[in-house]
Amino acid sequence: MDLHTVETLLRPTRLDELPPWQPGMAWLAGGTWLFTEPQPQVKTLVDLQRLGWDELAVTEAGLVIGATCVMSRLVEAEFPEQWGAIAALRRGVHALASFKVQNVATVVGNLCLALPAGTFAPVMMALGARYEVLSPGGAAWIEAVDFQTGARRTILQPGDVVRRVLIPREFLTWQTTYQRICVASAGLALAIVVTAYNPMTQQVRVGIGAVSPAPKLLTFAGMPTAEEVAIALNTAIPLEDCIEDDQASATYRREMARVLLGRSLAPFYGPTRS
Amino acid sequence: MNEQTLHFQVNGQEQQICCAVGASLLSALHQQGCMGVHRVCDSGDCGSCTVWVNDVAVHSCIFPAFRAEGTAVTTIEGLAQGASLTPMQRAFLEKQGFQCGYCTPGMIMSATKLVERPEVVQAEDPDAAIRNWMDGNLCRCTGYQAIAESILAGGFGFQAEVSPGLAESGCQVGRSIPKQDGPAIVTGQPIYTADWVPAGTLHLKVLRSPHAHALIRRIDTTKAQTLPGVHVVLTHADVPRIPYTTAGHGEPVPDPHDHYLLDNKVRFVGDRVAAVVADSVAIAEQACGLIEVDYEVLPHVLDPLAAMGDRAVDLGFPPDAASTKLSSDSSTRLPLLHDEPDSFQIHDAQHNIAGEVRLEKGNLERGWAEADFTLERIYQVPAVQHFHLEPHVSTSWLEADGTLVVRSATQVPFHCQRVLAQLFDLPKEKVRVFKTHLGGGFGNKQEILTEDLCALATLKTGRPVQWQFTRWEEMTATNSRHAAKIRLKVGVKRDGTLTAMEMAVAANTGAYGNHGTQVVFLTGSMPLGLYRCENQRYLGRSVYTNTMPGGAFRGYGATQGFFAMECLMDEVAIALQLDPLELRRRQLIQPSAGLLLGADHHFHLIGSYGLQEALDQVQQRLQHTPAMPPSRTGQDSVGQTRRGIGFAVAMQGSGLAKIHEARVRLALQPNGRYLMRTGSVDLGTGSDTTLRQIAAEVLHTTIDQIDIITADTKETPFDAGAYASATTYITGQAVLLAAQDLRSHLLNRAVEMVNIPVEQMDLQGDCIVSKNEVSEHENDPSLLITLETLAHQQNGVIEVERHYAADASTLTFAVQGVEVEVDLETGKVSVLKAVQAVDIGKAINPRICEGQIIGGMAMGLGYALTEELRLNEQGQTLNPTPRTYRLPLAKDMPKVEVVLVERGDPYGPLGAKGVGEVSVNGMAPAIANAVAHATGVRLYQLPMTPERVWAALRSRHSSDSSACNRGLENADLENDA
Repeated sequence: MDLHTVETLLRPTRLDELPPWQPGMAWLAGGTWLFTEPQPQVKTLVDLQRLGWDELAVTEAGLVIGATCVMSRLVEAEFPEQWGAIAALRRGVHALASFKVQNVATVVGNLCLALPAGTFAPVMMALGARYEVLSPGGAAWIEAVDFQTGARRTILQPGDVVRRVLIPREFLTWQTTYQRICVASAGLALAIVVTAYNPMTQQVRVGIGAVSPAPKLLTFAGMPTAEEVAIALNTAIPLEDCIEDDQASATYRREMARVLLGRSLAPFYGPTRS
Repeated sequence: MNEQTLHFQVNGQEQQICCAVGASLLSALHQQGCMGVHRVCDSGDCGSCTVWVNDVAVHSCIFPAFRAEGTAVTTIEGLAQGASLTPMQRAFLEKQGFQCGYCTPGMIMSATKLVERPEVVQAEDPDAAIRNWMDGNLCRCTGYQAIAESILAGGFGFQAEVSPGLAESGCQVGRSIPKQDGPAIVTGQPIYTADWVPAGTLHLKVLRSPHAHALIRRIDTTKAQTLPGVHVVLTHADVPRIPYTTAGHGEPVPDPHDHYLLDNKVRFVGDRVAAVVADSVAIAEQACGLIEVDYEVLPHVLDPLAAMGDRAVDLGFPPDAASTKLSSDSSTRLPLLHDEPDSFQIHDAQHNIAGEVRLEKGNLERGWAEADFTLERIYQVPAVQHFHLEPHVSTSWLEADGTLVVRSATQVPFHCQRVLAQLFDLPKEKVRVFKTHLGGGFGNKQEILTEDLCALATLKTGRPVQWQFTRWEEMTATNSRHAAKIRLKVGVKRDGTLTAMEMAVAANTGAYGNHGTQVVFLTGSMPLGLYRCENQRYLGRSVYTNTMPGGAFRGYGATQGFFAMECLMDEVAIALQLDPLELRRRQLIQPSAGLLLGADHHFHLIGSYGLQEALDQVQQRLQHTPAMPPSRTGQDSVGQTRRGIGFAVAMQGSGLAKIHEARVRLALQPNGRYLMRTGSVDLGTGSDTTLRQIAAEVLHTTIDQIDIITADTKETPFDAGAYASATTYITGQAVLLAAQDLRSHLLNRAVEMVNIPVEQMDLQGDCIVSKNEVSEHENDPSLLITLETLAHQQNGVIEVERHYAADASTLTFAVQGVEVEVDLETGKVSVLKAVQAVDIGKAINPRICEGQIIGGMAMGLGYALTEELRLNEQGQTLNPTPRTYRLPLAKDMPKVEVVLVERGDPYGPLGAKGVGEVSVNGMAPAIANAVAHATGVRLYQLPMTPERVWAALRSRHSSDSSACNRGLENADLENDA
């Protein structure tokens, strides 16, 4: 929709062209969230597009997703077949919205929006991702698990911007599953469970979204038993931390996390358990 | 607000576009006249505004306009090269992948790109892949089936039967003639209400109430009025205080007159407080924010049982049935929504009862005494929203002669004209209301919601004014289907005889009583009337609360009642160990019976009766055999699932008896073509096509020979409008009568000219021919005279006008069957199969009827599983966007089967009955019954969200999920014993 209160558009080609950050300024990546509801507080849009931050690159360190890299490129790009991590990323893309939104929306924008039901945050946690944050004071790398602190809250200070996401190379070969449940077949999730499994070491990392205001990470040194899963889940997300709102109760959300966890682990238990 | 100048190509033409910095591409394209890019959700969820930017499909409503700088943008208007449509456009025409057409440009723009994608091209099941990947495109009319078929045809060359040609002669009725507006729809022509405005049009916005219930102590508009670009600000002090109803009904208007242009009291969050008229929407919005209002906040009430106070007692709900409680000290002093002295026709304002309906026949006590057992249940159904894709919009202006003209998206132009004339003290002929093309309505446009203030603004300013609702306004400040609590009790003999039925309903009519009483009437009368039972009693109330009003919505109360009735009948069948279809075969209304509940004469009758065949057809197609157990499915490794089958029956009248009036004028024009003038409203369903088929049948011509002017109080005769499944049954009958009249007029006049007895002549296309081939015309020995010549020799137009109002409304029946799969761990319900057989009389246009039915099934599926307006403690809608208010997507709908059971109805035109509403009623109970069949667990509340199903499954050992119903279950056992 039209953002009637916007007075100024800044389209820097370098970050240092920007004036000091002020209230009323908003970063614009894809715009697929910003333009979906009135933003009466926004007076200035700061467009990231001309900064040239749209890389989708494979480096020695791993997979790099630039701040303005749109989601559809994750779907279209070719990756080595043994990179099991890509499946979770692509499921995240499809879970977000229609292919037309995927053409415009950015992965990093989704992370910074920090909705409890954000589709990528649990993926990034499971894959041990790190985010490069640019602040007036310099650049820093933040662990995905430390980034989102609540519903629509992150560690970013006003004026901070995420430059890129790095999924370390060691995690790219982990096998992944992506499970979610919504009230309908699409829309905001009530629970998201993304599981990454290292077939060499049997290590398991699970990102859980939409159950608590900020996504949570569970890690297991080996394939967990059902009991270990239940204990880890209850410890990481006590019932009082679960979201209770008009869409679903806290009890249901956590129970769905448990159910989806079971389903997401099932493929990795090997033939005797399947 | 700063403007920017952009340069980009639009459909191959370089354009310079000046727009606001924060503008969306959608708005920039509208400035370029690309009105085929439709604004529906404005939030990137519905896909109606899909365009291509450098050949990449995007939702233009969430695409910043400035990002288009230097690009090439393609819109629906740029697809066709001249008259040459693209394969996808042709496929949508061929397969009729639309009804109202509002979603169609976005569908075509999306589908064209979708069928290039590898996920779809390489899919084993392209239909499933298309449905899966079209989740960014919403349609509310079609149920997606015709759309999926169109995309298959357009992208994969799947071809089914060739549709009959438009000008093919012979029988016109019973053929699936394409909707005549198809070419305009698939090319994105500017045919809808908002697609044109007069030069210099101002825009209206209203300030809406932040409080559920409050008095306006003081309102200061000074700051708003001084904002540059503001023309006028209107408050309750500036308007005539005349009570009226927003419901579009004919006189005598049955609804409470409890609404005012602007009032000094607000009754729900979103109620109108003040109106601003300004040069632009943005300025009007800004000015609304500058209006200072001093509110005296009043106590409010959200639950209809609580709102009635002690008057709720005789409905017989258990004490815990009210979902919210009033604080104890307020039990003596209810918050009263309509304590103003000038409102009238309110049943009991002191207890917030807008309307009450009592129906009774037989002797209920005798009925209970005769019963071997009774079952009693409480059902709860939510408020749901129509979500017609085209929003409410009006544009008004003054003609040079002072006539007030309103171009409106309305289902009821004539009722609207009458209300405006009354409100502004104008003679009716000085008010012209007309509609152009409608993008759906489903009842919500049977309301006068935008026309009143828009017209007032024009009268105050002398300028053209437009008022268009945002999607947020649609979801929070229009109308919903009435939420209701329903208590239903039935007495049954062991042989299945129903000895007594008692129903009590508390329907939430929200802040205003529009439609409430009539809706509540159907909630009881239709379901109770469907079954043979000598002793019945009904008490229904529409109750004011501080929420968005309930209003007219396809099904009109019957939908709520059938959910209760058809679920309970399933339980009765189980208690009797009888197949649910068999119980219905024994107990459903018989053709000899009438509907005499609470009436001493027939308003409804059964003209044709194909109900038993409809039951058989659905049973066969679902391969249902009595006592069939539920099935497990093979994919148990990912979770336990169960499948089950469920049924439901529904009925609905065809128009309103006595009072639903239609007039039709039919003429032979000087050019030899026919012209039909009808005040009826095609909501997008195709009635403009259907009505012409009826005329063409009688006139032995083809529908392309009949021009049509519709729904214009100046240009067409009176028609009550599009509601109550009336258009085919009532207006169609007027068309039939007019066509018969015109035919005999034409033949009689021809007698004078050709000297042949009238019985030896006939109409044939654009000629009058001899049945005996006596003419000496060289090409066609039978030709006597062309209609053009006849018209010339008769000095111009030959016109007839006929009027029709039905003595009784004939009943249409529908049988719904579904197969569902339930995930026992998550509670998720998927509908795998859906079959509906409709006892339709005669399908004038089978494809249009099927489209209506499938669309109704989709709407019913949403009601069953996902749709619900959720409110906070202020009664404010928590999910006013399509992202949180979930409509069915293409992938939620199974491939459905429709069976048209055709037994001509003696009262309908050429045998036809109404079909607009009945199809929506059966899905929710059928799905609930299928869930019960699959799992043994029964739900009494809609929608059956995963969590509700899961909770019911968890508590299955305590008999069911609802405390109310559990208590009643015990009572049953005692009664049974």
